[in-house]
Amino acid sequence: MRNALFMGLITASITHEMQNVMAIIRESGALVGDVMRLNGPPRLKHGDKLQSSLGNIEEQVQRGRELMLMLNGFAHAAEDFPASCDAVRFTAQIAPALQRLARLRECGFIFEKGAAPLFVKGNAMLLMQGIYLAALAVLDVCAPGDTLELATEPGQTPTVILRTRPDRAVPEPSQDFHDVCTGLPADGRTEPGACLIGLTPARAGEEREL
Amino acid sequence: MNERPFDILLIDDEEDYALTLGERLELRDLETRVALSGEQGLEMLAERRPSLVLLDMRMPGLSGVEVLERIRQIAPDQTVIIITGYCSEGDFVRAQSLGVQGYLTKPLNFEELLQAIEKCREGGCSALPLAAGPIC
Repeated sequence: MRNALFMGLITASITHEMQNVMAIIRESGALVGDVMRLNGPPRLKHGDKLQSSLGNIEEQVQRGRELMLMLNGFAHAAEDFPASCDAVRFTAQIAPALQRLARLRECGFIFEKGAAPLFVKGNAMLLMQGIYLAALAVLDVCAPGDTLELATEPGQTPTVILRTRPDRAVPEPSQDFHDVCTGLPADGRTEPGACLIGLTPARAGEEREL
Repeated sequence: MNERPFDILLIDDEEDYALTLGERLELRDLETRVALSGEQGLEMLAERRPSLVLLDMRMPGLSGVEVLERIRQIAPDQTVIIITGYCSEGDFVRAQSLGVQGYLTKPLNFEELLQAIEKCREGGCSALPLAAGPIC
């Protein structure tokens, strides 16, 4: 836990600094755009390329900002280890990492965030680890062009579901996955085309947001 | 008697950022002075009170909260908008309790900033909503 806290502290600090870096890039690019607009239509040769490059800078700053927010969220998830967490929120937190995993395997990715919080027993870090390990198991059987679906399902046993499209026979996940499930506590299992993490609802009064 | 033109004092230790943002505001005919530390900002405020202070939170030397506390001592009704990439939740709560008129996060949405400035110009900045929360 101490290692996780340290990593979280340093990572959060770096994401803070990166916000400043991106702010400088954004304002510098925007200032060039301001000057161009004030001078009327571009008279520069290839002025249109300059315009499109400024558009790229803005898009990438926005992308970088979203990534930094995600990383910042991870860093802070390490700071606290309450007995419960919101499964919907932290499934959404890990989703971009799974999307990247899927893309590396030339697979599609679909994630639909649950509409309402789903408070379950266990801490956020373990939950995100469990989802990540489950995704690795599912993606192991996916072929290029397949799709990985991630969803949460409320109910008596709130469940995080990682499904392959089309259905593929998902192998038994790693021992690490089962260790994480034991720690949560959760019931980690597979079924045709899916790996599921059956979570334990938090008792009334146990709900706690990070 | 001529009405004093609307002017801005931007206090931010990130030199490249502050100067660039200042130039963008100047291009829109918003007179902007830039201070690169809290101490310098307080000196410039004492020389001439601006219509609006844009204040970063995390700075070496005097922090944004400390600068804000001193501003409230010497100019209780000074309009202040916080612009920051991050802050602690404690800073955010403290800034709220010291009556800031707005809270914007970096990288700024420049249009949002201009809207906030416009509200201040119209004298309605006390109604400016704070952002949902800080990036901590």
